[in-house]
Amino acid sequence: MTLIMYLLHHIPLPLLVVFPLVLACCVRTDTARRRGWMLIAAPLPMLLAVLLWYAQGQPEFITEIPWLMLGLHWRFDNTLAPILLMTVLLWTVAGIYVWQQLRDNSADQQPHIARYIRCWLLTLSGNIGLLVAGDIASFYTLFALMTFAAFGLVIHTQTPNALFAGKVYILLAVIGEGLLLSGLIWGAAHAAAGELTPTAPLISSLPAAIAASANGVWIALLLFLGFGVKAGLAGLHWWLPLAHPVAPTPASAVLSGAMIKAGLVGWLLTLPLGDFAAGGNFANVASLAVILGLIGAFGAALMGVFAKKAKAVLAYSSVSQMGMITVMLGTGWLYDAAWEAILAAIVVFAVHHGFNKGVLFFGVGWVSALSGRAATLMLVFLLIPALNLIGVPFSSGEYAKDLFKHVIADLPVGLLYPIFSAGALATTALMARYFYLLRKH
Amino acid sequence: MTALLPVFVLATSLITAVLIFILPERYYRLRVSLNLAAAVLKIVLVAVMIAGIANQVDYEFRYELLPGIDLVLRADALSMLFAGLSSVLWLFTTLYAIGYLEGAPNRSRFFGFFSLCVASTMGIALAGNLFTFLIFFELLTLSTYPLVVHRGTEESLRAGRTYLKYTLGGGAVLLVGVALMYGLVDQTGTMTEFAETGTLSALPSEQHFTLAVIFFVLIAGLGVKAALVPLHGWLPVAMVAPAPVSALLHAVAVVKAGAFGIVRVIYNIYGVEFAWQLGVLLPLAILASITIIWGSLRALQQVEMKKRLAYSTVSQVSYIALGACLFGPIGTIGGIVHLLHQGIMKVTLFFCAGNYAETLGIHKIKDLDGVGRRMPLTSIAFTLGAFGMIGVPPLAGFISKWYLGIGALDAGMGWVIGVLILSSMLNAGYFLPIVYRLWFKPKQGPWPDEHIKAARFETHGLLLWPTVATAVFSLAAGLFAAHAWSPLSWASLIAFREYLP
Repeated sequence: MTLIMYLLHHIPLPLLVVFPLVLACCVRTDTARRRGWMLIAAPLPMLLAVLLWYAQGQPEFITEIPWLMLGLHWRFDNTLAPILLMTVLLWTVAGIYVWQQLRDNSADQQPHIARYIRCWLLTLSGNIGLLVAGDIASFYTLFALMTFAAFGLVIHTQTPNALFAGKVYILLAVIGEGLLLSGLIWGAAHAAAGELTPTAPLISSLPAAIAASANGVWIALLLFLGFGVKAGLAGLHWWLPLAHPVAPTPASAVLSGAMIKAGLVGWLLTLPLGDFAAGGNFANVASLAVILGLIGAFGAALMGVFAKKAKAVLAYSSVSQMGMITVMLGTGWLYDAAWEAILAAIVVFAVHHGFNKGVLFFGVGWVSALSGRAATLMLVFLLIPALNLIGVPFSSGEYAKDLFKHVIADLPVGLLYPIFSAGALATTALMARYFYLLRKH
Repeated sequence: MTALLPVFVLATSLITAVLIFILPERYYRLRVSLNLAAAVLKIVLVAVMIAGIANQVDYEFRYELLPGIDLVLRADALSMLFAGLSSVLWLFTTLYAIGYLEGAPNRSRFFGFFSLCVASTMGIALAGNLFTFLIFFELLTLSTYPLVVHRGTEESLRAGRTYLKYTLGGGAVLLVGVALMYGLVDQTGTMTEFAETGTLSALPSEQHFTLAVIFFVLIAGLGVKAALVPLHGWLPVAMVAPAPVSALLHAVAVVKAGAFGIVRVIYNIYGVEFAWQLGVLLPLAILASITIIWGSLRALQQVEMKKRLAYSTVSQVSYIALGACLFGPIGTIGGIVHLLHQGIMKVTLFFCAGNYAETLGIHKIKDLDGVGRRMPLTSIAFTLGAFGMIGVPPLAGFISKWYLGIGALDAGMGWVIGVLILSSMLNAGYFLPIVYRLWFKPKQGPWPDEHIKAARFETHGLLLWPTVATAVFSLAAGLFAAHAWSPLSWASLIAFREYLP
């Protein structure tokens, strides 16, 4: 136990994040098929570290390297830790899925396995890294790494559809990065307050700086939209329903389960929420969040029920679910006193959605690989995550939604309460469509 | 000794140039050893001076030509940034050029002028007043012309003529500017010395209008080499030169000399605070922004690799001028550090373009499909350079953009952020398709003209390793930006000395 304690306190966080990068450098074209284990091994150190950290009772865990980049400051964040755990677990499971595929040679016809594995590891590195990065520069670095490397996952099959999806993805991603970078620089300029230091400000200093700025609303809007591209915000979501059906199944699972949450994490870290929103300075952006969230939640369901592929339905479902999260975020932004409680609800909802959506994506692959009774059994099993997402009684979905509903029951939100509850209808419609398409297959 | 060190640095390349001109064409080994020995020696000398400057040692050499007109060679923090950049890149470009020109005719002439060109760059870096700067600035024009027309083809001769027209014209305008400065403002020769925080702010206000006019005359003269729109016409034409020449032209020598001159005029003649009061910085910032956007837009339309890179240079070099116009230390850091960052990134990109052309005969972007598998190291280097230009962290370009952006906000010019981001997106627009072709597209048919077969490495070692080295520099400059020995820290030192008297 003392050894474990020692390790936990002396392994710098960057090593855990860089580990997949090192593995990526070891992938070679001729042996790539036998390197499936790398995808499982890559997230494991981080998984162990997070579990140990939980076991130790969440001590303060910070790594600072002042001479690296613009001053590295990485930490385990107490609020975001559940999302980190979900992300790492999902990547591990998806890694097992790919490993299985490679071992069964079912991927034999696919060329570019080496490139796929490399892009996978790079994306993984960015995704888990941004959850522990505490300074703006390295956070943005890892966010960009994830964004650009995921392009290789989206277009992996190289079909015309995949290439088109890749184009839309990269276009929206570049626009998103642009919005994001301008927002981050603008915010950082206020956070640094003209001080001449070679180190970039910590990301935790952004909300206060934005709240204090005269142009805070614009900075917040830039960041909201910039991260919104990743989070599938209505209007910026176009890449999701295109990319998910064409990407390989495990890649869709991590795209929808884990990577989409990176946008949410960006919001939670940078936007002036809670106390910083007191006084209603950000009411306009917050209302925009609620409106776009509602449009996403119901509009995506409307479009999703006409989708032709099960994975496209799931993609629309992700947009819809993220819409609900956006509604929660916007509500919490409007009513700053309730933010703490709503934040807890958002994190629970994000973790719940990540797991269940991941399983539903895997299900598409499982069902198509099985036949006869086994396929039927699998369909029955898939009812569990589906019902979870809908939020039937005694499910994780009900728990997550109730957390939020309890909070807004006491707030003067008018019609929002029944509308939010009606979100379950949208999810039900999408899930019904999902099962219909799976069975037809 | 401290007075002569700047002279020695200059002499290393100057003497080498003379010796190479004397040396007959067939003494290949001797010429190579001479070149490399001089390059290494110069890096050592520059390193000694950098260490000295950090410890506040003065290196100054002064020789009176005429009463009131001195030849001054002085090393300060800013000149060491430029001298360090050009001495390091000279070594790598020389190595690259040896591999590139293997077996080609007229190598003696080429390397002679190559050394002369670097000597002029060194002179520009070390010039201690406007007059000395002007001399080396003109010498640079004359020594680069033979390099541009080196191949001797009809196309390159035409490019050479265009190049001369522009740069001699620019030189003439600069001469007028310097003459006006000496005649109208500064008869004693003390005010055209390059000094930290500038020298002109003491002048009475009735001279301010004259000073503003002279400022723009100087900028017009320097702007030709710095490729400010609409004076940039020569740059895309001059890319017919051999790849190492283009690399040197775009990364350190000509374009940088112009940008460096602009920085000198703003910081060390006028003084940034005084220039700000004169109101000359805003027009220049607007002009630089137009250049940034225009260069990127034109780069999007190019189908030839080197042409696209050339227009990208037009755009990227103006970041330096833009940074120099941002009143405030952080913007200054951004502009100055980009002087170095753009150099290492652009030299990498041109080396890569040269590798593709020399190894596989690829000149057009559409022929690059699937090259990543054939030439992985070169393609990784290109990818790093391209992402750096876009401004993706942790590469050098991101650090520049970060500081320029924050500096612009501190200077109250928030619109600059829009320019930076738009330029980033346009950069992504013209670099990402190339990266995509390299890595994601399958190979289409045989290579256009494969000169060098893949053996142990993908291409000739002398072409490959300098490319890899500069790519590593562009990564390291960003990755270790906060380290005490990074370009960023050196740029911060310069900014400190400029703003805190």
